[in-house]
Amino acid sequence: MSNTTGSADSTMQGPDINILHHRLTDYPKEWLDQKVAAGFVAIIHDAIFCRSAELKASDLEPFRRPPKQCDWYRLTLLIAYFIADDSFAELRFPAASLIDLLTGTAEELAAAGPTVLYLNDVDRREEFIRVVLNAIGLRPAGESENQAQDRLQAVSSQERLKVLKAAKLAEERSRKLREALAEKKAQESADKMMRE
Amino acid sequence: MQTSPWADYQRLPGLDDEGSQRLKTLIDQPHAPRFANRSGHHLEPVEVSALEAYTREEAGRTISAKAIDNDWVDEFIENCFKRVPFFRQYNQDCGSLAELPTVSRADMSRDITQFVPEHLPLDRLIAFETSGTTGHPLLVPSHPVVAARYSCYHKKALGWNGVSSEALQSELAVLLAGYQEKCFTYASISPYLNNKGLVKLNFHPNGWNHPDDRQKYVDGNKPDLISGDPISLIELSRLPFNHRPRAVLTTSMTLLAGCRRVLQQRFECPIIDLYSLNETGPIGCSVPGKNRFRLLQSRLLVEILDAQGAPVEPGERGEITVTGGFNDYLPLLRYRTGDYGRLELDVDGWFITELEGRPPTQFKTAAGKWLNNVDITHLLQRFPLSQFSLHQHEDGRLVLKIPPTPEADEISRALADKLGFPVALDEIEHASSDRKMTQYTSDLSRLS
Repeated sequence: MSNTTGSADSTMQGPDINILHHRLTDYPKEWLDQKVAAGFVAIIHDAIFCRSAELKASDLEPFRRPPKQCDWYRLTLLIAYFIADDSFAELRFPAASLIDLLTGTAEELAAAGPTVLYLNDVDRREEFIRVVLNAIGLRPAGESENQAQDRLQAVSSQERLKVLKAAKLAEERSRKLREALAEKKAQESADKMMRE
Repeated sequence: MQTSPWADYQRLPGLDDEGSQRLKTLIDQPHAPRFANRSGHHLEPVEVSALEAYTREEAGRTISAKAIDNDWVDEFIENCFKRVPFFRQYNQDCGSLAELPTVSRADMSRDITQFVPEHLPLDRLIAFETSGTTGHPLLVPSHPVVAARYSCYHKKALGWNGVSSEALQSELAVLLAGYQEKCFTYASISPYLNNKGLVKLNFHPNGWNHPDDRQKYVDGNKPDLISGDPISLIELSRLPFNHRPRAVLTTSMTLLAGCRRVLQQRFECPIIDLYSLNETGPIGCSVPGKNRFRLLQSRLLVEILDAQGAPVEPGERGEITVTGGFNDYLPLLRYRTGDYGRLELDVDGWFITELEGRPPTQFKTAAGKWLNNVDITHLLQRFPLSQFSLHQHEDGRLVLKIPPTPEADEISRALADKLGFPVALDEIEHASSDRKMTQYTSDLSRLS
């Protein structure tokens, strides 16, 4: 039987948290190298494709940028590896939810700490697991909705909370900037001796 | 009730009685056009003083395209990483500029807000819209201080062409000429041009009470400088006015020598061609005796990159890529302009030569040889074309689009002789500055 999920509002039971801890401690050391792994896009494709039936080629555009421009790809890779675990085999997700996970959540986690921290520090590892599960509408097996939410709050690091707050502010500034630009476009601008 | 333009202290802070009277005279005269819009410098007195200092400082700096001569770059990169959301996501272990990834217009077009430093206030933001020919329209964020800094580089370009901006005499310092059915037009006063006038006019007859008013206005107000794109300037050159400006400033990817000659004969003054983009401001300008663009900005490092993004040796052709710039609201970190050229150093400084506004396009000759679009530009140099485009079909046939000219047959014969395929002429019926066209396209090119 396969279950489809994807919303964080009401979560479904996911894999056992101990299995997921092991999954992370088994992360291939060579993928921690300075450069993002070769075949990055192919890995992301496979990770999404085996958990969602709706993947389109254009969905992969966010992962085709130069890796040096997107340091958060390291976390994307870790998340892709994480959700490829057999313990997720029976679960299916909307592709959009997985794309959000591999972009937005990856960016958020990357801003709060390097990949190696989420592997070696047991508290941060648990934070990673709970953040990822929550982002795709899951909670660890055996936990109630409330328990899972409480534990997510409890393991949320100051670093990540700071990142979340900064991201919210950045989003707000970006919106204001977009509006201001659109408004100024419709208006006049300032004098220049010549125009391009 | 709206204030009159000559009492518009909001757009023209610091406007004094003399400036106000000057502006009134430019607007309120018998042959004046219908000014459709309003604009102003928006500069506070303290910003005018800062601009003067900026201009003095910039005039004294050397300009180099060698990374080693640009010691400001490291700090600039550090600031980008710290303050610009897009660059903050970079792998910041990159050791040097050459190791950093490049940014394209498409990156900016996706979300320009990610390129604006977070610490800058937004209350006086302005925007310049650019459509380009790449299919990636951009709204370039800017600020009145940034817009005014253009004057610093234009003055430098004037100086290199023997025209001192200190010696401007007329009450009207600059006339920006447009030629479009509809166009933003206004009159203003420039504190960075001795408080003299600046008008943006549309020389399309639609914008005037009587078509003859156009030449009467020019002769009556005698602008020291005229600026515009080649299409507008060629249209302007056809009007029978007697005034001769001190210089004409133009922006064109390819100001053909023939077109320059026509303008020079008509206006009898230096014709200064600027390589300028909305994203960067003026990058280079033409100087007497050299068919290339001398680099203008001391805080804009120009690199030439190959198709893989690696810097090429001076003298080799590639994509023009820039770092730095004077727009605080759009710091550029290895921005690929989409334009192509070579960097060259001579006794006068650094130059961009063989500038073309698009990636190389190849044209096949009937004998099976491949010619680069630069060769075609060389061939067309002697003709006075303000605008053109050439397309090669799969079977080798060519279509040349040009404005009406008595030399049309000669041009098409020259192309047919060079390429060995028939050339069909397609006339551009209505020249207009707002219709940008891609100059070279081909169904055959191995490069485009």
